[in-house]
Amino acid sequence: MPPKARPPIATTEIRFRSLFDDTPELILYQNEKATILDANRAFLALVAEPKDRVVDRPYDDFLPPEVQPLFQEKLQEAFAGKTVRFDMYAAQGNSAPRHWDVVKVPLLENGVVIGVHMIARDITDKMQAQQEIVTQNQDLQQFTYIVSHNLRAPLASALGLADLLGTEEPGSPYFEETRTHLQASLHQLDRVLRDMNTILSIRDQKSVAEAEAVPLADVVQQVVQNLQEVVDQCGGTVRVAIPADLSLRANRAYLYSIFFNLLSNALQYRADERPLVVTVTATGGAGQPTRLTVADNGSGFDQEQAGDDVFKLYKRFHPHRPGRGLGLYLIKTHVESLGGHIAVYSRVDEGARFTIVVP
Amino acid sequence: MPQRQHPAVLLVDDDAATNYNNQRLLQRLPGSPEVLVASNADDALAVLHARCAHPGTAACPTLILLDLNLPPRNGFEFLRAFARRHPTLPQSFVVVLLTALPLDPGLVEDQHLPVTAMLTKPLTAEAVNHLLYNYFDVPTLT
Repeated sequence: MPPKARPPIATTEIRFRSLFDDTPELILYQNEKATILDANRAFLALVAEPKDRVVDRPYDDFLPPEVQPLFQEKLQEAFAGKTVRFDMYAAQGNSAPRHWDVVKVPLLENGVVIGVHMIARDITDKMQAQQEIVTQNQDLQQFTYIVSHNLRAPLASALGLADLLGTEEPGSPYFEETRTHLQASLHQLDRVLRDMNTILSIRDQKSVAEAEAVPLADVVQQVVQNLQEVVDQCGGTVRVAIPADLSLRANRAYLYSIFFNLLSNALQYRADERPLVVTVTATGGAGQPTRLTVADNGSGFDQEQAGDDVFKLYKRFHPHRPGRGLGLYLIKTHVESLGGHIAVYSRVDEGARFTIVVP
Repeated sequence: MPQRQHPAVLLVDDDAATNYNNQRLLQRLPGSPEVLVASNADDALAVLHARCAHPGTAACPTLILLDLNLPPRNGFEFLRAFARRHPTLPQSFVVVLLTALPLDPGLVEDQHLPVTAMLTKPLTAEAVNHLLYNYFDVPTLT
């Protein structure tokens, strides 16, 4: 039986040329002087230059000065016969800076390195995801720290008072006062645990499934209606400027909570010297990010002193007014569950402006 | 042997229940020392200024029981403000830092502030006796 005919396969040259040209990673071939002798399509596309304006030019022409020494060093290592791998964050040509995983592979002929291949893979997305996880871990660690302190504080108080109660004469005024304080501490402990339940239920991923297109004007109107009595009592005004057809894909209850908390804050921290005016605006739609603002003319706070703490759990900035330091933390958690971001600008005795952007 | 006087004590804590507990523990000591209470850093600074800046008025509270978590500022910031206002005074005070959970001593040392001791809440009768014996030569009750 005659040998079976082999299927036609591309010649070695065509196969390797295709690998070189069509791979989405950047591939270059360089000599010892770092001159580019060949560059693949991905590289040409990135630097937006035709091949004849890349070949025979030094690679340094396409690299920012701060990474040039690193590339020189790694190229020399490769010319010494080693395969080297390293990460860098840099622009190439006029491209935006990206994270690159770079490999340099020596090409040997009769035991001598005659050139070096470079393959660079864009790992920006991976690096960003990793950074997000690191940030989330730090947040969780801080959350745990704050929670443990805020649980231990009323508990320690209760422990001390329970001991004290045992030494006071039952029925005496001291006994009664100690008991009252003990109860207050236990209630505080209970509130912290209830807060945890609220926070954890917001973070629960289920809420994402409940997202619907929520008309923003509707939600804000509902919030204003429910707070109207308080607004009227203090002689305040709430101005709303939201296009009737503007809606946001979100969990309606969360949006309600965000506006309710922001308006409640504006009411609570109003300035006694002037009637409260709160302005609520929303813009966006048609592919644009949704931008919500709630601005008041209230007492404001010292932004420099508050620093990064404004949205942190159990941080407070008005020691002489009631409040537990939960509201802004919940708002931030809600906004983040919508994939958005919240920021504040405030000056003492001028007011505060909260801006929420949801992409 | 003459018994040393109890120091006047300043309690600084924003939690009313904690202040009540600590005040009661101190007031029940024999000789019931004077106990001053401040619920925030500014009030505490005002007390120290009124009592300690000009000798010969009322007793200056030389034992300070200070809560570290003292919004809007913390206990360290209070001590820094105190040291700034009265550069020579803090060294002659016994400052006891009270915290809800044990504190890393290194964290306190890094502050370079006149902190004499650290205690985890709650303050107990034993801890009070211990403090008075160690820093004020007041004999413990047995």
